[in-house]
Amino acid sequence: MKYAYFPGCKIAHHLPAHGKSVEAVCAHLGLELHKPEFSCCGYPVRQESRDASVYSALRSLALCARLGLELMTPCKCCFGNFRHALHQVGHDEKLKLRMKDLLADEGLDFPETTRVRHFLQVLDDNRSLVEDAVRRPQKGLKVACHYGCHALRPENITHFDDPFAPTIFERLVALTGASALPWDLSLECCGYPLRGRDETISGLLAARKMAGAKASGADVLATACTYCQLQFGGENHHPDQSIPAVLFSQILGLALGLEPKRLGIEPGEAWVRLAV
Amino acid sequence: MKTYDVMVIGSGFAGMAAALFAANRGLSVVQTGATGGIDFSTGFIDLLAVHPIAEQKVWEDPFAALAALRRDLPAHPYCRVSDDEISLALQEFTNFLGQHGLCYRGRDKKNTLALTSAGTLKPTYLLPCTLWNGVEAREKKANTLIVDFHGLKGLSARQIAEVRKDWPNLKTARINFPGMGGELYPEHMAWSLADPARRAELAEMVAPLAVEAQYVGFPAILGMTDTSIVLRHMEELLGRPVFEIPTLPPSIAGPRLRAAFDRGLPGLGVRTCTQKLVTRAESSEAGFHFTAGSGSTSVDISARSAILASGRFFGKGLKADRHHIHEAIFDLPVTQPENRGRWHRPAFFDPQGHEINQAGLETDAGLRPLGADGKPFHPRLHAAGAILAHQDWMRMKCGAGLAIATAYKAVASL
Amino acid sequence: MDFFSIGLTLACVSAAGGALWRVRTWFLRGKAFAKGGNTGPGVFRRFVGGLADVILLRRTLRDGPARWTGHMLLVLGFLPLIFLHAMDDVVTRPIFSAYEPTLDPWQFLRNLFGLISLTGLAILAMHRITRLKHESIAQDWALLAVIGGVLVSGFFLESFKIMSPGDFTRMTDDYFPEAESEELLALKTYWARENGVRFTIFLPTAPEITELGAQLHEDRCAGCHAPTATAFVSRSMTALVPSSMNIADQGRTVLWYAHVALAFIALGLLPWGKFFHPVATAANLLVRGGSRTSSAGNSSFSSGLALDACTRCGQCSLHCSVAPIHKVLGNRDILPMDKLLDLRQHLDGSLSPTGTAALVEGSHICTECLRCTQVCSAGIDLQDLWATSKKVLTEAGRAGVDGEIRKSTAAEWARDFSSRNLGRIGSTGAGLADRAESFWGCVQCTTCTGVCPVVAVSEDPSRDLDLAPQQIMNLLRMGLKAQTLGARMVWSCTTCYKCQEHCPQGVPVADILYELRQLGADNLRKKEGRA
Repeated sequence: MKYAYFPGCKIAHHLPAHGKSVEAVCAHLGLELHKPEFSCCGYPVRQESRDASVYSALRSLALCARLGLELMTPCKCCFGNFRHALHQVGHDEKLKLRMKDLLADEGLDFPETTRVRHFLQVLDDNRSLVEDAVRRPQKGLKVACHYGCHALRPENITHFDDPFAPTIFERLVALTGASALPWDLSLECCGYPLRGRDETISGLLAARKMAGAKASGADVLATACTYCQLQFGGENHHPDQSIPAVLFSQILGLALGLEPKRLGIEPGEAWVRLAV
Repeated sequence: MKTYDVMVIGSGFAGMAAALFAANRGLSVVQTGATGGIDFSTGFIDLLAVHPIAEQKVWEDPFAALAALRRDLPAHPYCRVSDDEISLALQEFTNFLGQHGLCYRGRDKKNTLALTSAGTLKPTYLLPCTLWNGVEAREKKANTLIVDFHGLKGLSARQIAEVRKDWPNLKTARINFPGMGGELYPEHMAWSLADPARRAELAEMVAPLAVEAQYVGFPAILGMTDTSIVLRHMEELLGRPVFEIPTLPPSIAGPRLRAAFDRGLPGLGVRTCTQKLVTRAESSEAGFHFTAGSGSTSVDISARSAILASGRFFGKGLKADRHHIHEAIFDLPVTQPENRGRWHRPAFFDPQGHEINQAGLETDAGLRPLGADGKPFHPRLHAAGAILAHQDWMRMKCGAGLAIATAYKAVASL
Repeated sequence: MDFFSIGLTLACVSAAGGALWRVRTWFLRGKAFAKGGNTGPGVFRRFVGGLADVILLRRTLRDGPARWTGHMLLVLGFLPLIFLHAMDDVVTRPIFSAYEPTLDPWQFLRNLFGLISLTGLAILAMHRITRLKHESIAQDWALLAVIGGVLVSGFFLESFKIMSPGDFTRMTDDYFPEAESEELLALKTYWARENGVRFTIFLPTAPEITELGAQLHEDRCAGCHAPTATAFVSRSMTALVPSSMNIADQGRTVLWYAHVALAFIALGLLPWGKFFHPVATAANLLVRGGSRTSSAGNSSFSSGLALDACTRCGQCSLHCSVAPIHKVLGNRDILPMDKLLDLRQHLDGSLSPTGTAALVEGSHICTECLRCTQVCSAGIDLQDLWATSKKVLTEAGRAGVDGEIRKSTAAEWARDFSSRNLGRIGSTGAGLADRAESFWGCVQCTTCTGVCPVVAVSEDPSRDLDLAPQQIMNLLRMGLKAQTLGARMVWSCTTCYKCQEHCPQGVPVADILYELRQLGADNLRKKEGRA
């Protein structure tokens, strides 16, 4: 399987471990990743301008179309914005014409058929591949799955999983041998979108989620989105960090028997000791 | 493509119950439906309280009422299910909810009068356990304090006290909800009580007001997915029995039910496609093909049999144009008043109800809806819940019970 | 004082004074970024890495061979010209005792280096014209023009000197004063034929005279003057002047002034804009020591230097992740190259209010993707400059659209917005908030508010958020859009889409809130003069 890999802007500087672990896992599973030079998915600028956001997304999709590949991103916000952009041009003929003009300026065709997949969906599509490749089942690791809003909702646009009772994350955690615990706030927002906008509410949302995950008895809060991970861990140091936030790609990488270093896991990250 | 044993169309009481019963019987189940039905539920499981509607006769024994109904209204869907089936259905349904943190309670073969937010009494068969102490308190006319909150619109303790003149020992108090101000919404208050420290704060504010009270009542805000824990903790903190009173819809009862099913059904292997309405349906000898949702995000579903639990108008199971009422998915014939002029009676609150609220599908004994030729439309298509004709569940106070019982019957007849 | 001395003095004063002024800004601007010390790889590795970047132009090579080749040729050709030719009195003559500019190899090398430089410059000019036309500003063209002018005028000057009979006479007056008129005629004949001097008098062709000329040339000239054929470019260029035109003497004088003046201009302009990049960029590459990532906490000096090291090569803007956003919004400060320019002006306090607004928008649209830092030929830690300047701007009260909105209350915005024509969303105006169908289903059931996590965690929603989601829907339904645009709920929406997903009536609540923010941003842009 080949995919056009869309890492998203934040990985290179702010969360290189996400890119590293996703690429290591894909390489190990034989999922080939192509890396054209993409631009921004348009998510961050969606607050400022609809047209700029839609165009930014379509430009990257047009690059995929030229390669004839599906786009795969490990970021839920990138994923969501690609889906939104396609939805918007699909429902606004005038917008579509304007976008076609802008793309033509750059010598690109409108991406009529490009499919957008999230990393979790790609893994789910290749379940048997993952299942056969697990060498070190992470038995004993209890995981609280954090779904990430922009892939999950609104379902009629993102088409990720059931928006009220999703199961894809738990299914994939089960493949690694770890156990996914049920908890009440798994579908709630991490609060990252309000970083730099309303720090108080952003902090409260994150704290509430982490407290909930901790109370569920989980060892780690698992994410599958660059922004969510940045909010719970990464550069955001929470004074009351009660539960470590871990990228699912790292948990899976360990289960596949990959070296922690290849997955961007720093020596001394406490949760790794919980993993087998 | 996977072919499921059953496709359940709808996610109200009937749809949820049908998905549950089918999954419990080891069938592979896929379910579609939008939010709406169960989200606006009061949380009560009515079986049957009023019959005949025109006389507004209220029954204490719902099974006696059922017997009368079956005698008077042979076309009523309750005539398709036996008392035993109804009891088994309710038991299985409430067992499931109990496992997911929503305990239900009632009296054997007897309706219970439950206190509403308006202070009136509503006869119902099963009610959330968190309400039960309130039933006892009212029946004993015990010294009771009902607390309400500044900023919460859904319940006024003083109004309840004014209406319930027959309960002189009822005291009321209005306090600020700890940690929140301005306009309050039940769901947020309930989530915040997941924190034991918040409960202690609340208890501290209530305790001095409840010195003489034997019981303390709150608006229904005591927890979201952990109501029994929150209730027990509040009782410990206050040293006396505590109960909830449902607030005006949309109350917390809907989200609590929704959360229980959202957690429980995928665990039973049910594939849920929430927020997707069926946009295309085809049937053949072998079974059914559906498309749910539209455009690029639609999904195709194959199933050997199907249960139509899509509700009436609010659930979008039936659609009305200027002249006629249509069934939305298979375009099944809908029993309805002859013309639009007869849909409604002149007075909106006419105790006899409106003709349009009897509209719906005709079925055979196995709850298979009838086609235009009067024969079952498809050998493995069944219907359950509000979409069935000849019942006005709202006025007969039989909504949830009818939905659960017919879902049970539909699954049993598969 | 003659023209040359005055010009040289002025150029040197301008270059030295300006350079000092430029270096001063490295300290001053850096202070706006004052932070802790620098951390990075070890000193030796940094030195080697930095030197390799400077000498081999390694970072330029990343962008493909064309620009690297052009730049490498220009440097390899132009540096010897500066030292061996322009500064021959202080460099070449003291080292090589027999140096004469008219002797080989110098005469030949001058042409060779000149040709190499011109080739390099031509490649760079083509690159800029084909790939960077829209990104380029006056100083980009000015640098190309001045360097090109120096080179071309030099070639023409030499070419005219070769043809000039005046120069011939000056030489013979100096070096062969005792010449008989016959001897002079013979020498002229020889030089006209062999070395391309253009005399206006008739010259004999008799073999004995030619013979004599060759003999005299060997005796009196060849010791200090190589055949002009080794000035292979200049000599060939004489063909450009028709033999009927007798302008060599006048032309030679004009071109001398032109060449010298251009050289002085180049020297004098050294501290101006990108003319300084040979100094600033090289210094920055050394300080960066070969690093291609970003390190937070650069020292104030290295930040100040980084701010000054841009060569305007355009790579950052060509590869910028948010370039498509610039394409739609048109604000040049979205692209790194121009943003850096305006950031410098902002730090110097000379940026106009409109410019500052554009800078603030550009600063907030940047997604900090690191790519500009990775592709920067000058090795500038742009990532750190963007992160820090965003912080500095925010602390100065310029926090982008969101920050502007939060400066006034919802009521104040309601007054402001209701007095203007708000327009519609995006280019097509297909806004949900303007369509009655969007709200038809709303029954004010408060489900959206009930599931909203922002309302849930706010202490007092009516105080902290102004309006609950369902109240916003209700106001929009009544056509009171201006009343909603400043509400905190609109701007503190965390975009989780729970409201929209849970709405039993299918009202696209979250999409509408998104739209309101877009509309607010549109109107702020208009207000700040960036429609």
